[in-house]
Amino acid sequence: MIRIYWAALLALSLAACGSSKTRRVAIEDDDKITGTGLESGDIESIAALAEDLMGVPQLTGPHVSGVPTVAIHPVRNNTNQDFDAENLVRRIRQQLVNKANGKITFVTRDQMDEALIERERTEKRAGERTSSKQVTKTGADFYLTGTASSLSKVGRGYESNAIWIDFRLIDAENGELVWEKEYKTKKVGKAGVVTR
Amino acid sequence: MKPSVLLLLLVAVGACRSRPPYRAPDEPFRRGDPAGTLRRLQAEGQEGIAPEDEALWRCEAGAAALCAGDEEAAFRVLHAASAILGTLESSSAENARAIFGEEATKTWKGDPHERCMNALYKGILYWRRGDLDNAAACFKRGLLADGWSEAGEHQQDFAVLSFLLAWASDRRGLEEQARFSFEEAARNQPDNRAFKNPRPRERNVLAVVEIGRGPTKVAEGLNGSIARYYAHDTQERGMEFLLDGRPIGRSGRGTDLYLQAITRGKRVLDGVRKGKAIFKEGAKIGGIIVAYEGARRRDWGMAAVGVGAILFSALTNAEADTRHWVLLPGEVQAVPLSIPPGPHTLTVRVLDGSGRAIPGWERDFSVDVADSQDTLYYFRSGGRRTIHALVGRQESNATQ
Repeated sequence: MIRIYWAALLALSLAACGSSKTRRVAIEDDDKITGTGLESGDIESIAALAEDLMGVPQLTGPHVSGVPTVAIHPVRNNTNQDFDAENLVRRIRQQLVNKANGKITFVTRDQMDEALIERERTEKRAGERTSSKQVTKTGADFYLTGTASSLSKVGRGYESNAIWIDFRLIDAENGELVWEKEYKTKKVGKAGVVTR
Repeated sequence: MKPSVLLLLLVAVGACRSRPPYRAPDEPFRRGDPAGTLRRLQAEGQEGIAPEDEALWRCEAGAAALCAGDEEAAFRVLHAASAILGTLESSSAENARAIFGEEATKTWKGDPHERCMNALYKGILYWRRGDLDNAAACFKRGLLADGWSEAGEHQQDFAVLSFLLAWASDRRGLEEQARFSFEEAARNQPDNRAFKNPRPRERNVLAVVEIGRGPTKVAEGLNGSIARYYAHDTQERGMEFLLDGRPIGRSGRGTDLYLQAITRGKRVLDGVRKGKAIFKEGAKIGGIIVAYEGARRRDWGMAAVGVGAILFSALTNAEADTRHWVLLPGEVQAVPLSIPPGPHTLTVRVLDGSGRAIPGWERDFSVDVADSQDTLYYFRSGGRRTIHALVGRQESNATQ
Protein backbone atom coordinates (compact mmCIF):
# COMPACT_ATOMS: atom_id res chain seq x y z
CA MET A 1 0.00 0.00 0.00
CA ILE A 2 2.83 2.38 0.87
CA ARG A 3 4.30 1.88 -2.58
CA ILE A 4 1.04 2.97 -4.19
CA TYR A 5 1.03 6.12 -2.11
CA TRP A 6 4.58 6.94 -3.10
CA ALA A 7 3.76 6.39 -6.77
CA ALA A 8 0.73 8.65 -6.47
CA LEU A 9 2.84 11.21 -4.62
CA LEU A 10 5.40 11.24 -7.40
CA ALA A 11 2.69 11.60 -10.05
CA LEU A 12 1.07 14.47 -8.18
CA SER A 13 4.36 16.26 -7.70
CA LEU A 14 5.16 15.95 -11.38
CA ALA A 15 1.72 17.15 -12.38
CA ALA A 16 1.89 20.05 -9.98
CA CYS A 17 5.23 21.32 -11.07
CA GLY A 18 5.01 20.40 -14.72
CA SER A 19 7.59 18.90 -17.01
CA SER A 20 8.24 19.23 -20.69
CA LYS A 21 10.21 17.43 -23.36
CA THR A 22 10.89 18.70 -26.82
CA ARG A 23 9.45 16.43 -29.47
CA ARG A 24 9.29 16.60 -33.22
CA VAL A 25 5.84 16.96 -34.80
CA ALA A 26 4.58 17.32 -38.35
CA ILE A 27 4.41 20.95 -39.43
CA GLU A 28 0.73 20.72 -40.31
CA ASP A 29 -0.18 19.27 -36.91
CA ASP A 30 -1.83 21.38 -34.23
CA ASP A 31 0.09 21.64 -31.00
CA LYS A 32 -1.00 22.39 -27.46
CA ILE A 33 0.17 25.99 -27.69
CA THR A 34 -2.65 27.32 -29.74
CA GLY A 35 -4.07 30.72 -30.42
CA THR A 36 -6.90 31.82 -32.65
CA GLY A 37 -4.64 33.11 -35.42
CA LEU A 38 -3.06 31.36 -38.37
CA GLU A 39 -0.98 28.35 -37.42
CA SER A 40 1.66 26.48 -39.39
CA GLY A 41 -0.98 23.97 -40.45
CA ASP A 42 -3.05 26.78 -41.98
CA ILE A 43 -0.06 28.11 -43.88
CA GLU A 44 0.62 24.66 -45.32
CA SER A 45 -3.02 24.23 -46.34
CA ILE A 46 -3.10 27.66 -47.94
CA ALA A 47 0.04 26.93 -49.92
CA ALA A 48 -1.49 23.65 -51.10
CA LEU A 49 -4.48 25.59 -52.45
CA ALA A 50 -2.27 27.13 -55.03
CA GLU A 51 -1.94 23.79 -56.81
CA ASP A 52 -5.44 24.41 -58.09
CA LEU A 53 -4.00 27.15 -60.25
CA MET A 54 -2.41 24.53 -62.46
CA GLY A 55 -5.85 23.73 -63.84
CA VAL A 56 -6.62 27.27 -65.00
CA PRO A 57 -6.99 27.10 -68.82
CA GLN A 58 -5.57 30.57 -69.32
CA LEU A 59 -2.33 29.38 -67.76
CA THR A 60 -1.93 25.77 -68.86
CA GLY A 61 -4.63 25.25 -71.52
CA PRO A 62 -3.85 24.06 -75.05
CA HIS A 63 -4.35 27.53 -76.52
CA VAL A 64 -1.69 29.19 -74.38
CA SER A 65 1.26 30.27 -76.42
CA GLY A 66 4.58 30.86 -74.72
CA VAL A 67 5.18 30.75 -71.02
CA PRO A 68 2.81 33.03 -69.08
CA THR A 69 4.20 35.06 -66.22
CA VAL A 70 2.32 35.27 -62.93
CA ALA A 71 3.24 38.02 -60.46
CA ILE A 72 2.53 36.96 -56.89
CA HIS A 73 1.51 39.90 -54.75
CA PRO A 74 1.76 40.09 -50.97
CA VAL A 75 -1.32 38.92 -49.11
CA ARG A 76 -3.20 41.95 -47.77
CA ASN A 77 -3.92 41.55 -44.08
CA ASN A 78 -7.30 42.88 -42.97
CA THR A 79 -7.52 40.59 -39.95
CA ASN A 80 -6.84 41.34 -36.30
CA GLN A 81 -3.77 39.09 -36.28
CA ASP A 82 -0.42 40.19 -37.58
CA PHE A 83 1.29 37.55 -39.67
CA ASP A 84 4.28 37.22 -41.94
CA ALA A 85 2.70 37.79 -45.35
CA GLU A 86 6.07 37.29 -47.02
CA ASN A 87 6.34 33.81 -45.56
CA LEU A 88 2.90 33.00 -46.89
CA VAL A 89 3.89 34.21 -50.35
CA ARG A 90 7.11 32.20 -50.23
CA ARG A 91 5.20 29.00 -49.38
CA ILE A 92 2.72 29.62 -52.19
CA ARG A 93 5.46 30.40 -54.68
CA GLN A 94 7.37 27.27 -53.73
CA GLN A 95 4.33 25.10 -54.32
CA LEU A 96 3.58 26.76 -57.62
CA VAL A 97 7.13 26.60 -58.95
CA ASN A 98 7.40 22.92 -58.08
CA LYS A 99 4.07 22.07 -59.71
CA ALA A 100 4.42 24.22 -62.80
CA ASN A 101 7.48 22.42 -64.16
CA GLY A 102 8.53 25.46 -66.15
CA LYS A 103 5.15 25.90 -67.85
CA ILE A 104 4.54 29.10 -65.93
CA THR A 105 7.01 31.71 -64.76
CA PHE A 106 6.46 33.21 -61.33
CA VAL A 107 7.71 36.51 -60.03
CA THR A 108 7.00 38.15 -56.70
CA ARG A 109 5.92 41.73 -56.29
CA ASP A 110 5.72 43.93 -53.24
CA GLN A 111 3.20 46.66 -52.65
CA MET A 112 5.61 49.28 -53.94
CA ASP A 113 5.38 47.68 -57.37
CA GLU A 114 1.65 48.14 -57.64
CA ALA A 115 1.85 51.58 -59.23
CA LEU A 116 4.39 50.24 -61.69
CA ILE A 117 2.15 47.32 -62.52
CA GLU A 118 -0.82 49.58 -63.07
CA ARG A 119 1.27 51.56 -65.52
CA GLU A 120 2.30 48.35 -67.22
CA ARG A 121 -1.34 47.32 -67.52
CA THR A 122 -2.03 50.58 -69.30
CA GLU A 123 0.89 49.96 -71.63
CA LYS A 124 -0.34 46.46 -72.38
CA ARG A 125 -3.78 47.78 -73.21
CA ALA A 126 -2.12 50.19 -75.61
CA GLY A 127 -0.22 47.28 -77.16
CA GLU A 128 3.14 48.61 -76.08
CA ARG A 129 4.03 45.59 -73.99
CA THR A 130 3.32 41.86 -74.27
CA SER A 131 4.91 39.96 -71.46
CA SER A 132 4.28 36.45 -72.83
CA LYS A 133 6.51 37.27 -75.71
CA GLN A 134 8.77 39.79 -74.12
CA VAL A 135 9.41 38.92 -70.51
CA THR A 136 10.77 41.91 -68.66
CA LYS A 137 11.85 42.42 -65.12
CA THR A 138 8.51 43.85 -64.17
CA GLY A 139 6.33 42.14 -66.73
CA ALA A 140 3.45 39.84 -65.88
CA ASP A 141 0.48 38.37 -67.72
CA PHE A 142 -1.43 37.60 -64.54
CA TYR A 143 -1.45 38.84 -60.98
CA LEU A 144 -2.11 36.55 -58.05
CA THR A 145 -3.49 38.53 -55.14
CA GLY A 146 -4.64 37.50 -51.69
CA THR A 147 -6.66 39.25 -49.01
CA ALA A 148 -7.12 37.99 -45.48
CA SER A 149 -10.11 39.15 -43.48
CA SER A 150 -11.58 38.07 -40.18
CA LEU A 151 -14.57 38.24 -37.92
CA SER A 152 -13.76 38.06 -34.24
CA LYS A 153 -15.71 37.87 -31.04
CA VAL A 154 -14.67 37.85 -27.40
CA GLY A 155 -16.79 37.32 -24.36
CA ARG A 156 -17.04 35.33 -21.14
CA GLY A 157 -13.38 34.46 -21.37
CA TYR A 158 -13.70 32.95 -24.84
CA GLU A 159 -12.46 34.17 -28.16
CA SER A 160 -13.66 33.18 -31.59
CA ASN A 161 -11.88 34.10 -34.76
CA ALA A 162 -13.08 33.31 -38.27
CA ILE A 163 -10.48 33.97 -40.97
CA TRP A 164 -10.97 33.98 -44.71
CA ILE A 165 -8.14 34.31 -47.20
CA ASP A 166 -9.33 34.99 -50.72
CA PHE A 167 -6.99 34.42 -53.63
CA ARG A 168 -7.59 35.85 -57.08
CA LEU A 169 -5.80 35.48 -60.38
CA ILE A 170 -6.32 38.55 -62.50
CA ASP A 171 -5.51 39.03 -66.16
CA ALA A 172 -3.02 41.89 -66.23
CA GLU A 173 -4.22 43.07 -69.59
CA ASN A 174 -7.91 43.55 -68.97
CA GLY A 175 -8.32 43.15 -65.21
CA GLU A 176 -10.51 40.07 -65.73
CA LEU A 177 -10.86 37.69 -62.82
CA VAL A 178 -9.81 34.29 -64.16
CA TRP A 179 -9.56 32.24 -60.97
CA GLU A 180 -10.68 32.60 -57.38
CA LYS A 181 -10.28 30.39 -54.36
CA GLU A 182 -10.70 30.83 -50.64
CA TYR A 183 -9.20 29.33 -47.55
CA LYS A 184 -11.30 29.61 -44.43
CA THR A 185 -10.87 28.57 -40.85
CA LYS A 186 -12.56 29.31 -37.57
CA LYS A 187 -11.05 28.90 -34.15
CA VAL A 188 -12.68 29.17 -30.78
CA GLY A 189 -10.87 28.89 -27.50
CA LYS A 190 -10.74 30.01 -23.95
CA ALA A 191 -8.78 33.23 -23.86
CA GLY A 192 -5.55 33.17 -21.90
CA VAL A 193 -5.69 33.85 -18.21
CA VAL A 194 -6.91 37.32 -17.39
CA THR A 195 -6.43 38.19 -13.79
CA ARG A 196 -9.56 40.25 -13.48
CA MET B 1 -8.67 10.25 5.96
CA LYS B 2 -5.61 8.21 6.80
CA PRO B 3 -2.52 10.10 7.93
CA SER B 4 -0.59 8.72 4.94
CA VAL B 5 -3.13 10.27 2.53
CA LEU B 6 -2.81 13.54 4.35
CA LEU B 7 0.96 13.36 4.06
CA LEU B 8 0.62 12.64 0.36
CA LEU B 9 -1.39 15.79 -0.24
CA LEU B 10 0.87 17.96 1.89
CA VAL B 11 4.00 16.84 0.08
CA ALA B 12 2.33 17.42 -3.29
CA VAL B 13 1.44 20.95 -2.28
CA GLY B 14 4.89 21.47 -0.85
CA ALA B 15 6.36 20.49 -4.20
CA CYS B 16 5.08 23.77 -5.61
CA ARG B 17 7.78 26.34 -5.14
CA SER B 18 7.25 29.75 -3.74
CA ARG B 19 9.25 32.82 -4.70
CA PRO B 20 8.76 36.57 -4.93
CA PRO B 21 6.84 37.76 -8.01
CA TYR B 22 8.99 38.91 -10.92
CA ARG B 23 9.63 42.64 -11.17
CA ALA B 24 11.73 44.32 -13.84
CA PRO B 25 14.82 46.33 -12.79
CA ASP B 26 13.27 49.73 -13.47
CA GLU B 27 15.65 51.95 -11.44
CA PRO B 28 17.80 53.05 -14.44
CA PHE B 29 14.61 53.70 -16.43
CA ARG B 30 13.30 56.01 -13.68
CA ARG B 31 16.60 57.90 -13.86
CA GLY B 32 16.08 58.49 -17.58
CA ASP B 33 18.34 55.63 -18.67
CA PRO B 34 16.18 53.07 -20.53
CA ALA B 35 19.29 51.58 -22.12
CA GLY B 36 20.54 50.77 -18.61
CA THR B 37 17.32 48.95 -17.82
CA LEU B 38 17.52 47.15 -21.16
CA ARG B 39 21.06 45.98 -20.37
CA ARG B 40 19.95 44.68 -16.98
CA LEU B 41 16.97 42.92 -18.54
CA GLN B 42 19.27 41.32 -21.10
CA ALA B 43 21.54 40.16 -18.29
CA GLU B 44 18.52 38.65 -16.53
CA GLY B 45 17.62 36.90 -19.76
CA GLN B 46 21.07 35.38 -20.01
CA GLU B 47 20.79 34.09 -16.47
CA GLY B 48 17.39 32.58 -17.27
CA ILE B 49 13.84 33.75 -16.77
CA ALA B 50 11.18 31.48 -15.28
CA PRO B 51 8.88 30.32 -18.10
CA GLU B 52 5.82 31.77 -16.38
CA ASP B 53 7.47 35.22 -16.31
CA GLU B 54 8.85 35.18 -19.82
CA ALA B 55 6.07 37.18 -21.47
CA LEU B 56 6.32 39.86 -18.79
CA TRP B 57 10.08 40.02 -19.07
CA ARG B 58 9.79 40.38 -22.84
CA CYS B 59 7.18 43.12 -22.53
CA GLU B 60 9.43 45.02 -20.13
CA ALA B 61 12.39 44.61 -22.48
CA GLY B 62 10.22 45.82 -25.36
CA ALA B 63 9.26 49.02 -23.55
CA ALA B 64 12.87 49.66 -22.56
CA ALA B 65 14.12 48.99 -26.10
CA LEU B 66 11.53 51.37 -27.57
CA CYS B 67 12.77 54.17 -25.33
CA ALA B 68 16.40 53.24 -25.96
CA GLY B 69 15.76 53.57 -29.70
CA ASP B 70 16.42 49.89 -30.51
CA GLU B 71 13.43 49.17 -32.72
CA GLU B 72 14.66 45.79 -33.89
CA ALA B 73 15.11 44.48 -30.35
CA ALA B 74 11.77 45.96 -29.32
CA PHE B 75 9.99 44.29 -32.21
CA ARG B 76 11.63 40.94 -31.53
CA VAL B 77 10.78 40.76 -27.84
CA LEU B 78 7.29 42.23 -28.11
CA HIS B 79 6.47 39.83 -30.93
CA ALA B 80 7.64 36.87 -28.86
CA ALA B 81 5.67 38.15 -25.87
CA SER B 82 2.49 38.48 -27.90
CA ALA B 83 2.82 34.86 -28.98
CA ILE B 84 2.63 33.88 -25.32
CA LEU B 85 -0.15 36.36 -24.51
CA GLY B 86 -2.17 35.06 -27.43
CA THR B 87 -1.89 31.44 -26.37
CA LEU B 88 -5.19 30.10 -25.24
CA GLU B 89 -5.77 28.63 -21.81
CA SER B 90 -3.26 27.60 -19.21
CA SER B 91 -1.89 24.10 -18.97
CA SER B 92 -3.58 21.70 -16.57
CA ALA B 93 -0.37 21.55 -14.58
CA GLU B 94 -0.39 25.34 -14.21
CA ASN B 95 -3.99 25.31 -13.09
CA ALA B 96 -3.26 22.55 -10.58
CA ARG B 97 -0.34 24.57 -9.18
CA ALA B 98 -2.42 27.69 -8.91
CA ILE B 99 -5.22 25.96 -6.98
CA PHE B 100 -3.13 25.66 -3.84
CA GLY B 101 0.02 27.55 -4.73
CA GLU B 102 0.54 31.14 -5.75
CA GLU B 103 -1.40 32.78 -8.56
CA ALA B 104 2.00 34.00 -9.74
CA THR B 105 2.98 30.45 -10.73
CA LYS B 106 0.66 30.77 -13.73
CA THR B 107 2.08 31.99 -17.01
CA TRP B 108 1.76 35.78 -17.02
CA LYS B 109 -0.58 36.86 -19.77
CA GLY B 110 -1.23 40.34 -18.55
CA ASP B 111 -4.32 42.30 -17.68
CA PRO B 112 -6.34 43.69 -20.59
CA HIS B 113 -4.58 47.07 -20.56
CA GLU B 114 -1.21 45.33 -20.68
CA ARG B 115 -2.27 43.24 -23.67
CA CYS B 116 -3.53 46.42 -25.30
CA MET B 117 -0.13 48.04 -24.83
CA ASN B 118 1.71 45.05 -26.25
CA ALA B 119 -0.49 45.29 -29.34
CA LEU B 120 -0.11 49.07 -29.51
CA TYR B 121 3.70 48.91 -29.37
CA LYS B 122 3.80 46.21 -32.01
CA GLY B 123 1.50 48.29 -34.19
CA ILE B 124 3.78 51.31 -33.84
CA LEU B 125 6.80 49.22 -34.83
CA TYR B 126 5.04 47.65 -37.82
CA TRP B 127 3.92 51.12 -38.90
CA ARG B 128 7.46 52.46 -38.70
CA ARG B 129 8.57 49.53 -40.88
CA GLY B 130 6.05 50.63 -43.46
CA ASP B 131 3.77 47.63 -42.85
CA LEU B 132 0.42 49.32 -42.29
CA ASP B 133 -1.52 46.08 -42.81
CA ASN B 134 0.05 44.41 -39.80
CA ALA B 135 0.01 47.67 -37.84
CA ALA B 136 -3.76 47.87 -38.29
CA ALA B 137 -4.07 44.18 -37.38
CA CYS B 138 -2.25 44.88 -34.10
CA PHE B 139 -4.48 47.85 -33.26
CA LYS B 140 -7.55 45.70 -33.89
CA ARG B 141 -6.01 43.00 -31.73
CA GLY B 142 -5.44 45.54 -28.97
CA LEU B 143 -9.05 46.66 -29.13
CA LEU B 144 -10.17 43.06 -28.82
CA ALA B 145 -7.85 42.58 -25.86
CA ASP B 146 -9.48 45.60 -24.26
CA GLY B 147 -12.73 43.67 -24.28
CA TRP B 148 -11.34 40.54 -22.63
CA SER B 149 -12.54 39.85 -19.16
CA GLU B 150 -13.69 36.87 -17.19
CA ALA B 151 -17.09 38.45 -16.57
CA GLY B 152 -17.68 38.66 -20.27
CA GLU B 153 -18.33 42.36 -20.71
CA HIS B 154 -17.06 43.51 -24.03
CA GLN B 155 -16.04 47.13 -23.74
CA GLN B 156 -13.65 48.85 -26.06
CA ASP B 157 -12.74 52.26 -24.71
CA PHE B 158 -9.03 52.47 -25.53
CA ALA B 159 -9.42 55.66 -27.55
CA VAL B 160 -5.82 55.87 -28.78
CA LEU B 161 -5.96 52.38 -30.29
CA SER B 162 -9.16 53.35 -32.13
CA PHE B 163 -7.51 56.54 -33.35
CA LEU B 164 -4.39 54.72 -34.58
CA LEU B 165 -6.54 52.10 -36.30
CA ALA B 166 -8.55 54.88 -37.93
CA TRP B 167 -5.40 56.61 -39.18
CA ALA B 168 -3.88 53.38 -40.50
CA SER B 169 -7.17 52.46 -42.18
CA ASP B 170 -7.34 55.85 -43.86
CA ARG B 171 -3.82 55.38 -45.20
CA ARG B 172 -4.77 51.94 -46.49
CA GLY B 173 -7.72 53.37 -48.35
CA LEU B 174 -10.32 51.76 -46.07
CA GLU B 175 -12.48 54.83 -45.61
CA GLU B 176 -15.43 53.16 -43.91
CA GLN B 177 -13.23 51.48 -41.29
CA ALA B 178 -11.43 54.80 -40.78
CA ARG B 179 -14.67 56.71 -40.27
CA PHE B 180 -15.99 54.13 -37.80
CA SER B 181 -12.78 54.11 -35.78
CA PHE B 182 -12.41 57.91 -35.75
CA GLU B 183 -15.94 58.09 -34.35
CA GLU B 184 -15.11 55.44 -31.76
CA ALA B 185 -11.98 57.35 -30.68
CA ALA B 186 -13.92 60.61 -30.35
CA ARG B 187 -16.72 58.87 -28.43
CA ASN B 188 -14.27 57.37 -25.93
CA GLN B 189 -12.22 60.54 -25.50
CA PRO B 190 -14.55 63.46 -26.20
CA ASP B 191 -12.09 65.94 -24.64
CA ASN B 192 -9.61 65.48 -27.48
CA ARG B 193 -10.15 67.96 -30.32
CA ALA B 194 -7.87 66.07 -32.71
CA PHE B 195 -9.95 62.94 -32.23
CA LYS B 196 -13.13 64.85 -33.06
CA ASN B 197 -11.66 66.55 -36.09
CA PRO B 198 -8.72 64.43 -37.28
CA ARG B 199 -8.40 65.78 -40.87
CA PRO B 200 -6.09 62.91 -41.91
CA ARG B 201 -5.58 64.22 -45.43
CA GLU B 202 -4.21 67.51 -44.14
CA ARG B 203 -1.70 65.97 -41.74
CA ASN B 204 1.20 63.79 -42.81
CA VAL B 205 2.81 62.89 -39.48
CA LEU B 206 1.27 61.12 -36.52
CA ALA B 207 3.00 61.46 -33.14
CA VAL B 208 2.33 58.89 -30.42
CA VAL B 209 3.09 60.46 -27.05
CA GLU B 210 3.55 58.75 -23.70
CA ILE B 211 3.74 60.52 -20.38
CA GLY B 212 3.94 59.59 -16.73
CA ARG B 213 4.32 56.29 -14.99
CA GLY B 214 2.03 53.29 -15.34
CA PRO B 215 -0.08 51.98 -12.45
CA THR B 216 1.41 49.76 -9.75
CA LYS B 217 -0.32 46.56 -8.73
CA VAL B 218 -0.28 45.46 -5.10
CA ALA B 219 -1.87 42.68 -3.05
CA GLU B 220 -4.24 43.74 -0.30
CA GLY B 221 -7.08 42.44 1.83
CA LEU B 222 -7.66 39.04 3.39
CA ASN B 223 -4.44 37.03 2.98
CA GLY B 224 -3.34 39.51 0.29
CA SER B 225 -5.96 38.03 -1.99
CA ILE B 226 -7.10 41.28 -3.59
CA ALA B 227 -5.06 42.75 -6.43
CA ARG B 228 -5.37 46.51 -6.58
CA TYR B 229 -3.85 49.10 -8.86
CA TYR B 230 -2.51 52.46 -7.70
CA ALA B 231 -1.83 55.47 -9.90
CA HIS B 232 1.34 57.56 -9.73
CA ASP B 233 1.05 61.33 -9.61
CA THR B 234 3.04 62.98 -12.36
CA GLN B 235 3.64 66.56 -13.35
CA GLU B 236 3.42 66.03 -17.10
CA ARG B 237 0.10 66.10 -18.93
CA GLY B 238 1.08 66.28 -22.60
CA MET B 239 3.59 67.50 -25.16
CA GLU B 240 3.87 70.48 -27.45
CA PHE B 241 5.56 70.38 -30.85
CA LEU B 242 7.38 73.26 -32.55
CA LEU B 243 8.64 73.05 -36.11
CA ASP B 244 11.68 75.25 -36.69
CA GLY B 245 10.55 77.27 -33.69
CA ARG B 246 6.87 77.57 -34.71
CA PRO B 247 4.18 75.74 -32.68
CA ILE B 248 2.41 73.09 -34.77
CA GLY B 249 0.45 71.06 -32.27
CA ARG B 250 -0.16 69.79 -28.75
CA SER B 251 -1.18 66.37 -27.63
CA GLY B 252 -4.55 66.19 -25.91
CA ARG B 253 -6.09 63.67 -23.55
CA GLY B 254 -5.61 60.11 -24.74
CA THR B 255 -5.90 56.87 -22.80
CA ASP B 256 -5.16 56.80 -19.07
CA LEU B 257 -3.68 53.40 -18.27
CA TYR B 258 -4.63 53.59 -14.60
CA LEU B 259 -8.27 54.05 -15.58
CA GLN B 260 -7.90 51.24 -18.10
CA ALA B 261 -6.48 49.00 -15.37
CA ILE B 262 -9.24 49.63 -12.86
CA THR B 263 -12.23 49.75 -15.16
CA ARG B 264 -14.01 47.50 -17.56
CA GLY B 265 -15.87 49.90 -19.76
CA LYS B 266 -17.59 52.34 -17.42
CA ARG B 267 -17.57 50.01 -14.43
CA VAL B 268 -14.92 50.55 -11.75
CA LEU B 269 -13.48 47.40 -10.22
CA ASP B 270 -12.74 47.55 -6.52
CA GLY B 271 -9.91 45.06 -6.65
CA VAL B 272 -10.23 41.38 -7.43
CA ARG B 273 -11.61 39.01 -4.88
CA LYS B 274 -10.30 35.49 -4.89
CA GLY B 275 -12.29 32.49 -3.74
CA LYS B 276 -9.08 30.94 -2.54
CA ALA B 277 -8.84 33.33 0.42
CA ILE B 278 -12.33 32.34 1.53
CA PHE B 279 -11.41 28.67 1.15
CA LYS B 280 -8.24 29.22 3.16
CA GLU B 281 -10.12 30.82 6.05
CA GLY B 282 -12.96 28.29 5.84
CA ALA B 283 -10.57 25.33 5.91
CA LYS B 284 -8.76 26.77 8.92
CA ILE B 285 -11.89 27.42 10.99
CA GLY B 286 -13.57 24.17 9.89
CA GLY B 287 -10.36 22.25 10.64
CA ILE B 288 -10.15 23.62 14.16
CA ILE B 289 -13.78 22.65 14.89
CA VAL B 290 -13.42 19.14 13.43
CA ALA B 291 -10.09 18.54 15.19
CA TYR B 292 -11.55 19.71 18.50
CA GLU B 293 -14.65 17.54 18.14
CA GLY B 294 -12.52 14.53 17.12
CA ALA B 295 -10.32 14.95 20.18
CA ARG B 296 -13.34 15.44 22.48
CA ARG B 297 -14.98 12.22 21.21
CA ARG B 298 -11.63 10.40 21.12
CA ASP B 299 -12.26 9.80 17.40
CA TRP B 300 -8.67 10.11 16.19
CA GLY B 301 -9.63 9.71 12.52
CA MET B 302 -11.89 12.73 12.78
CA ALA B 303 -9.19 14.66 14.61
CA ALA B 304 -6.70 13.84 11.86
CA VAL B 305 -9.09 15.21 9.23
CA GLY B 306 -9.36 18.42 11.24
CA VAL B 307 -5.59 18.75 11.58
CA GLY B 308 -5.26 18.01 7.88
CA ALA B 309 -7.67 20.80 7.00
CA ILE B 310 -5.70 23.21 9.19
CA LEU B 311 -2.44 22.23 7.51
CA PHE B 312 -4.08 22.46 4.10
CA SER B 313 -5.21 25.97 4.93
CA ALA B 314 -1.74 26.92 6.11
CA LEU B 315 -0.20 25.66 2.89
CA THR B 316 -2.71 27.32 0.59
CA ASN B 317 -1.29 30.54 -0.79
CA ALA B 318 -4.16 32.92 -1.48
CA GLU B 319 -1.99 35.91 -2.39
CA ALA B 320 -3.05 37.64 -5.57
CA ASP B 321 -0.73 37.80 -8.54
CA THR B 322 0.90 41.23 -8.43
CA ARG B 323 3.12 40.82 -11.47
CA HIS B 324 2.57 43.74 -13.78
CA TRP B 325 4.28 45.67 -16.57
CA VAL B 326 6.14 48.31 -14.57
CA LEU B 327 7.67 50.19 -17.51
CA LEU B 328 4.33 51.24 -18.95
CA PRO B 329 3.53 54.96 -19.13
CA GLY B 330 0.69 56.60 -17.24
CA GLU B 331 -1.05 57.87 -20.36
CA VAL B 332 -0.84 57.33 -24.12
CA GLN B 333 -1.78 60.14 -26.48
CA ALA B 334 -1.74 60.66 -30.22
CA VAL B 335 -1.53 63.91 -32.14
CA PRO B 336 -1.53 64.45 -35.90
CA LEU B 337 0.95 67.02 -37.24
CA SER B 338 1.51 68.74 -40.53
CA ILE B 339 5.19 68.91 -41.43
CA PRO B 340 6.41 69.81 -44.93
CA PRO B 341 8.72 67.19 -46.47
CA GLY B 342 12.41 67.81 -45.91
CA PRO B 343 14.78 68.48 -43.01
CA HIS B 344 13.55 70.38 -39.97
CA THR B 345 14.20 70.92 -36.31
CA LEU B 346 11.34 69.52 -34.27
CA THR B 347 11.26 70.81 -30.71
CA VAL B 348 9.30 68.79 -28.18
CA ARG B 349 8.23 70.32 -24.86
CA VAL B 350 6.58 68.56 -21.95
CA LEU B 351 3.53 70.39 -20.62
CA ASP B 352 2.08 70.54 -17.12
CA GLY B 353 -1.58 70.40 -16.10
CA SER B 354 -2.17 74.05 -16.94
CA GLY B 355 -0.73 73.62 -20.43
CA ARG B 356 2.53 75.43 -19.66
CA ALA B 357 5.89 74.05 -20.75
CA ILE B 358 7.76 72.57 -17.79
CA PRO B 359 11.12 74.43 -17.59
CA GLY B 360 14.09 72.35 -18.71
CA TRP B 361 11.94 69.55 -20.11
CA GLU B 362 12.34 69.89 -23.85
CA ARG B 363 14.46 68.47 -26.61
CA ASP B 364 15.30 69.30 -30.22
CA PHE B 365 15.20 66.58 -32.86
CA SER B 366 16.56 66.80 -36.38
CA VAL B 367 13.94 65.22 -38.59
CA ASP B 368 13.86 64.62 -42.31
CA VAL B 369 10.25 64.11 -43.23
CA ALA B 370 9.62 61.87 -46.21
CA ASP B 371 7.26 62.90 -48.96
CA SER B 372 4.62 60.44 -47.82
CA GLN B 373 1.51 60.39 -45.70
CA ASP B 374 2.40 57.58 -43.31
CA THR B 375 5.12 58.90 -41.02
CA LEU B 376 4.81 57.95 -37.37
CA TYR B 377 6.94 59.31 -34.52
CA TYR B 378 7.05 58.04 -30.96
CA PHE B 379 7.86 60.21 -27.92
CA ARG B 380 8.01 59.40 -24.24
CA SER B 381 8.79 61.60 -21.29
CA GLY B 382 11.34 59.98 -19.01
CA GLY B 383 12.96 60.36 -15.63
CA ARG B 384 15.17 63.38 -14.92
CA ARG B 385 13.34 65.39 -17.58
CA THR B 386 14.45 63.31 -20.53
CA ILE B 387 12.46 62.75 -23.70
CA HIS B 388 12.96 59.50 -25.58
CA ALA B 389 11.94 59.26 -29.20
CA LEU B 390 11.79 57.30 -32.42
CA VAL B 391 11.87 59.92 -35.15
CA GLY B 392 14.09 58.48 -37.88
CA ARG B 393 13.07 55.81 -40.33
CA GLN B 394 14.04 52.62 -38.50
CA GLU B 395 17.08 54.42 -37.18
CA SER B 396 18.55 54.16 -33.75
CA ASN B 397 17.79 57.30 -31.76
CA ALA B 398 19.96 58.09 -28.83
CA THR B 399 18.12 59.16 -25.73
CA GLN B 400 18.88 62.47 -24.14
